[in-house]
Formats: sequence, structure tokens, C-alpha cells
Amino acid sequence: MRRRPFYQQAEWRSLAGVTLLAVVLTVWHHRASNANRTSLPERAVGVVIGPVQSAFSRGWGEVALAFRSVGRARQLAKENERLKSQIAEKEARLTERQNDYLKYLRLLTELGFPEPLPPDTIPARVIGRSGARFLRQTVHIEAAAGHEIRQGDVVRTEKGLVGRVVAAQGNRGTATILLDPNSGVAAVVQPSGVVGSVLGPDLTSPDPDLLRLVRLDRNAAISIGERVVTAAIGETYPKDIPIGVIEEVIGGTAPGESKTALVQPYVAFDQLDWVQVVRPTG
Amino acid sequence: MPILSHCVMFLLAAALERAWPQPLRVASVAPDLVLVLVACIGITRGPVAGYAAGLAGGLFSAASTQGPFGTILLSHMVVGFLAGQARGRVFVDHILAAPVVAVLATLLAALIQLVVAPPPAFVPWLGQLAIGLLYNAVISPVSYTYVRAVNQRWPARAEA
Repeated sequence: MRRRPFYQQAEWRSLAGVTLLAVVLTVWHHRASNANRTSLPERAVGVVIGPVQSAFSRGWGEVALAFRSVGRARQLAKENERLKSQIAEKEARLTERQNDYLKYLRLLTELGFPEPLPPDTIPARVIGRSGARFLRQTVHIEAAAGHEIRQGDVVRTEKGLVGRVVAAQGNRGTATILLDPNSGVAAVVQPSGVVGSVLGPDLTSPDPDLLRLVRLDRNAAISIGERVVTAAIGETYPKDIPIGVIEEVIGGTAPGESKTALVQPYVAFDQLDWVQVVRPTG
Repeated sequence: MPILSHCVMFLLAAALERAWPQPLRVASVAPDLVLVLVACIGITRGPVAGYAAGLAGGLFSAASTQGPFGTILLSHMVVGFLAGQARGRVFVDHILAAPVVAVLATLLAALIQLVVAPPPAFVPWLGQLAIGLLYNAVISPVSYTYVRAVNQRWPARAEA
């Protein structure tokens, strides 16, 4: 069946109605424009669109911000990777130098030359560390072949005291470190000259990484920031090896109560790599 | 119900068009979402619905852009009506027809604007038209998918 032309169909009324509405709207718009106003339908549409447009703008702003944040995070990640690789490279170089140094020492020994270090100082690599904090705090060290580590040797770094060898076999040994709850070192505070004992940390205290300087006289004039070094008492440790710095002084106020100082050790025990093994004289 | 749905879509399209983010604009040109929507409604629901959609879309577009009111109404209504004439043809059922319809609708609206309210500078207007054509063609499948979904939910009555 042939389709009738559009103008002969009933829909023309709808089209005429829509056209009439369009004309009315346009006339309304022009009349309002001539009076420097906005027509009511346009105002109504504007009122409805405004908040939606504002929400879209805010949404885009948030999305743009998120993209910028992701970009910045990527940049930081790249920078972090670059720095990590630089550190790894430097650590590799350091290890290489230290290995060369050990080879040099071995060659000196084999060729019969005197060692440049004092005969009682042996460089050793930290090859292990004990686990949980409530267990004994020890490090396992290994010197170059040909060097013997003995029980009682003192372990230190260039920064300060690490601990003492408690078990040794050949060029390997196990040393308790200052963080061990049972460690004890005779110490002197500089410059005040007050003498005491540095004990391992109190694991129940809020800061279990601080050593305790105890057996201080209640009138001892010590203050925060003073250095604590090993004292020349007994033959366990050579004197004047740095231990740490006083962070806090507690007690000494009640009658008969002695003072205790909390000491921040110089050595970062969780970053130990190489140490020096010192043989106490006498 | 479809009228309400389309009105909400016109509102969203007009608001989105105005708030189109600067980084997504090509030479400061944003897609004409309302016009594309009118064309899509026309090809899925027929000339009368397309004509009425042109009136509604034109009102939203003119009120939000502060452009020549009568020209915008006229161009949208003509686009809706003529797009409706293509309803029922085989090719418009395919989603890839949407870019073609969008391009034709944009050209037709531009032609009406050129005749009724000529732009002050022709060459820049032509450049913006070219970008608008491409942008509208890219956006059109989304509009077409939405309109088709509405049409399936509330099928149109038989029209011309």
C-alpha cells in the first residue's frame, strides 16, 4: 500500500502545535530581550541547568585533580626508584671496596708485611642478626679468613660501641649488642664525669630502643645531650668508646632514689653492615 | 515517561556541554550534545517526536548558550524532523549510523545558522564547524545507545 504524504496524516496537528509553541517562545524571548530581561522559560531552564552545570564543573575539577595526583605519584615513584638504584650502586661499591680491603689485609699477612691497623682491630662483616626483641639481641659476624675472633672481643663501628663477642669459632663469632636486655657496660658521662652502668633497654617502656644509664648518684649533675662513653673500669671494654647521648633524665627526686638516664645509642643497630672487632688489651 | 527521560537527558546534555572541560575541547570547541541527542531521538521515534524534541532541546540549548534563540530553535526542530523522516530505514538500526546522522545534523544546523544568522567571520566559523562535525560524530554512538535503550523500554507508537 502506498504511504500517504506526511501533510495528509493526522500528525500535522502535533507539528502545528509544536510550531506554534516555538513561535510563542521566540516571540516571548524577543519581547523580553527588548526589555533587557530574560523570558520566563529561559529563566526556568537557567535555574534548572545552573546547579547541574556546577556539579559537572566540580566533578571535572575533582577528576583533573585526581589525574594530577596520579601523575605526581608516578613522578615520585620514579624518583624513588632512581634514588634506590643510586643507593644500591653505592652500597655495591662500598662492599667492593671493603672486600678489596680485606684482600689487601690478607695479602699483607701472606707477604709478611705488618698490618696497617692496630693488631687488635679486625674488620668483620655482619652476616646475621637475632630475631624477636624479647630474645637475646645478638649479631653474627665474620672476619676475613685468617683472622681469628675470640670470645670477649669488643665489637664497634666508627660511630660507637656495638657489643661484645660471646661465642667465637675461627673467623666467625656471635656478639651480644647493647640492645640486649642483659647487656651491661661501665660508662662515664662526658663532660660531667659521672660514672654509671649502661644497661639494655627496658622492653616494657614506651621507647624500647633507648639504653638505660643506671647506678647514678642522686646528686649527679648530668644533663640531656651529654655524651656517654665506656669507662676505664675493669678490662671488658677499652675506655672512651662512644655509646650514645643522654635523651632524658628520670628519678632522683624522692629520698634514696637514684637517677636513671635514658641514652640514645650512636649506632643504628638495624643497619649494621661492617664492624670492627677490637681485642681488649691486658 | 520517555518524554521525562529525554527532558532529563537534555538538561544533563546542556549542562555538560557548558561545563565541558577545557582539556577535552578541541580548539575551544565542545561537542553539540543536545543537537546529537535531538537527531538520535528523531531517527528512533519519528518526525513528530523529533520535531518536539528539537523544540525542547533547542530551548535548553538556547537558554544555556545565550545564542540566537529563534535560530537555535529552528535548527534543532528541523534536524529532529528530518532525522525522523529516516526512521524505519534499514541503515539507521545500526549503531554506526549514529555518526553519519550526527554529521548530517550538524551540517544542516550549520547551514540554517549560516542562512538565518550568518556568522561575522566565515573562515573561523568553518574551522569550528569541521571540528564540531568530528566531535559530534565521535560522541553520537553514546547518545544513540541511550536513545535506543529508552525506545526499547518505552516503544514509540506507529507514526508516519
